[in-house]
Amino acid sequence: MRTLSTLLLSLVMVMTSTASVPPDSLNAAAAKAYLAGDHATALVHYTALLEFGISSDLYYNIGNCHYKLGDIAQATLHYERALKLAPGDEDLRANLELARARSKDRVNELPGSSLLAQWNRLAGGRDPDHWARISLWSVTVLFVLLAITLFLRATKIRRWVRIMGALSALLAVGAFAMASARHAAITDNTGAIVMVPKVDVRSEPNGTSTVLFVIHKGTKVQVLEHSGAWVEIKLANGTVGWMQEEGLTRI
Amino acid sequence: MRTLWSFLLLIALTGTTVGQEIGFTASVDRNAIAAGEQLRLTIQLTNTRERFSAPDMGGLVVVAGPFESSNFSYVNGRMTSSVSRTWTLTAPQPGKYTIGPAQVKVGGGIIATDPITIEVSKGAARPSDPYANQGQKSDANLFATITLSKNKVYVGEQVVATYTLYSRYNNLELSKYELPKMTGFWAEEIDLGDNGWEDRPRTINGIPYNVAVLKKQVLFPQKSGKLRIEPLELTCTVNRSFFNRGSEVGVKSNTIDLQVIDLPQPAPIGFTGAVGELQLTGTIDRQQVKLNEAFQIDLRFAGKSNLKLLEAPAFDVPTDLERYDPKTVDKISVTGTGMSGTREFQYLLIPRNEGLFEVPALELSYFDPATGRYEVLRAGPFPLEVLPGEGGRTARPERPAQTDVQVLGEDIRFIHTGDLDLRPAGEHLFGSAWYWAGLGTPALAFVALLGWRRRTEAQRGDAVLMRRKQADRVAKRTLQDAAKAMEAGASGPFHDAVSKALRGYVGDALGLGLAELTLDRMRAELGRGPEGSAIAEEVTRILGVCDMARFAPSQDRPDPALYQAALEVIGRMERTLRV
Repeated sequence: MRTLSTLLLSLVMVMTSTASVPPDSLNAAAAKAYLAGDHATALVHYTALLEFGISSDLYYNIGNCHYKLGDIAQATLHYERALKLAPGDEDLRANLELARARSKDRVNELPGSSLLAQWNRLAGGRDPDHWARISLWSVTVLFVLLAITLFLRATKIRRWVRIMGALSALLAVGAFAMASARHAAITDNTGAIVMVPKVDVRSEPNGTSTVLFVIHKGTKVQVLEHSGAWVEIKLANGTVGWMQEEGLTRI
Repeated sequence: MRTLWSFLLLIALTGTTVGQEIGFTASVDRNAIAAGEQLRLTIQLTNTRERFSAPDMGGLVVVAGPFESSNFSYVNGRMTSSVSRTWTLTAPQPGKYTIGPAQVKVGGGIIATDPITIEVSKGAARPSDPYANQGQKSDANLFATITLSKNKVYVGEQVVATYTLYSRYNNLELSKYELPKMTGFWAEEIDLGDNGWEDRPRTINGIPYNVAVLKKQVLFPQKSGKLRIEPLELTCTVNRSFFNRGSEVGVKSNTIDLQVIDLPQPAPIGFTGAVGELQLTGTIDRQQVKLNEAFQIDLRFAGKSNLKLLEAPAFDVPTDLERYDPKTVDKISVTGTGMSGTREFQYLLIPRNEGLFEVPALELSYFDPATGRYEVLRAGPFPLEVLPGEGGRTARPERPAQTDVQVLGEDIRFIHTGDLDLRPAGEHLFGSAWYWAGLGTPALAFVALLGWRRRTEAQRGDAVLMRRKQADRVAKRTLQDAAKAMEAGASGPFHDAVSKALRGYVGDALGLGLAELTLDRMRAELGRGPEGSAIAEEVTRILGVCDMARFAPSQDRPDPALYQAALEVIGRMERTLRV
């Protein structure tokens, strides 16, 4: 009982201590430690920053710290989390590529999905709310233009205003579709990274069925279905099998 | 016959003298010696021919002897005979020694000499080999030693081990020998050439020995700490001769410990691992070289060190020079003083581009045990001018050959140090209340704007405009009534409706009261251009036909052409007024 209370107390103290440090100075301290080669300290600071919120840059930096400390699986996990928020970040893609190259399993992506990835990169940008913001702007512009036509008598200008209004209406519809697609991608949590050294993937959700293949730490999988403590997973190359969920961490 | 007599006489005489004067003495030439010096012991027996035993030497070592001599004299009718034996003795250690009595049996009794005391002082003699001393103590006739040139060395410093056999036997054959195993050393044999017994005997504590150096090795300790060299064991057959099969004697040398000290840490960058004395000379064979022609840089290490363990130094050259693996040329000799000589690394280089180059200076270091410090070796820099190759400059294109940018390393990209733009997890703009509000607000604002505009127009009393705006809609609604009446075949309501629609529309569109709908007035309103008066006339005509039908019901059936004409004229007016 006393240990529990001391634990709680220390937890509260840690929380208050991190909360008392402003995020900007934490960020600066982390960057300084990273530059000096003290990646462990940088990681502690960046992880403390997660208290204040998330961003692709923060996940990216945490991934870098893990990479430098040699934990490729954790690095991959955080890069993937950052990628969800900012599929268009060049640095992120380059580092994720290196982390994937250093993990044990090489999974060839299905041919179709690389094109999709290209599209996602274009559609995603560096900002998760990119398209939502564009749709808001274009709707605003559309109605402003409509309002202008109400008051315009000159026919020539009115025609131009109508064309622009049609364009912004198109843009608004497109951007809305994009934003909803991005929203779906960001809130999707079927992606996961293997966090244990080695996992047997079986044909059925029990420990006695045939082992179909073996995957290792750092490999990305997609969770399709649940059955008790077991999940059905799919690799990027399309292979499907069952494994226990405890070996996975969701992106 | 006389000779026989005299012989008999002699015997008789001799017999008489025996009983008279028998002497037995022991003497030394000196009573005090320094350790390692020699003295001579002589024991003389006079007037008897009995054999006497050798005395107990009391710890003194017999170097030589005994040598026996006999003396016979006949003086004044008195005949004297004496026998003497002489030993050469020495004492390895200082102290007091007593030579015991020698005894001889004469007649029924025993005669003994007096014991002799010898004082052996500590000699001013040269410091002799402690291992030889030790070996001599265990077996004074045959022993072996291992000696090292140094007892305390640094890791990698060379030390010479000598395996020596000392023997006092005249006849010795080595039948078996086993060299100690070397653990922790890198050993290099020294070629002793034609080895055998040394010409001159070596004297250890006054005792001469035949000495053979069995083997010499240069040892390079590879680790620090106390390294032990196990004893050398050998078996010799001694005193073998034609008559004698000889006997086997086992010999075991001393063990020896070598104290090995670690090199001071940290070793400087460019430490070659060499320990000893070293010099480096770097030479380049040309200052000017033509393009694609080979030239050579030699790095020559000279000195006393573990040269055979020296590796070719990492030698950076500008990328436009192509470097080949170096050739190693050794002139290394291993002698009694250790390993020395030169090792030369010959680097062949070929310039692949013109211009002035400089092969940067090479800085290496070695450890000098004499000073206990790392010493720096320097070679270069080597300036070099590369001239255009065969065919001169014109044969070559001006543009230098391009090469791909070399990727030297791979690493992740740097962290993003700017503002992290943190936002609460799980909150997205899309789908949030703010988003829907953002989408809805412009639409609502627009609707509000429309409403506001309509209200202000009504308030401004712009009834004319309102009427005109609605004229089209009102006319079309009334015309629908006309169409119904036309289908029902009711002539009166049909003409009524057409007339009402047209009058209403024209009145609303032109802002005229029903009473004002005269041809002239309509012409005045629509007037400008032929189109205006044509419309006015058409309107007047249709209204006229309607009025005729209403007041003089001659035609029974409603005329679809009239309906069409009314629709058409409303359309024409609409277009005219809109413009």
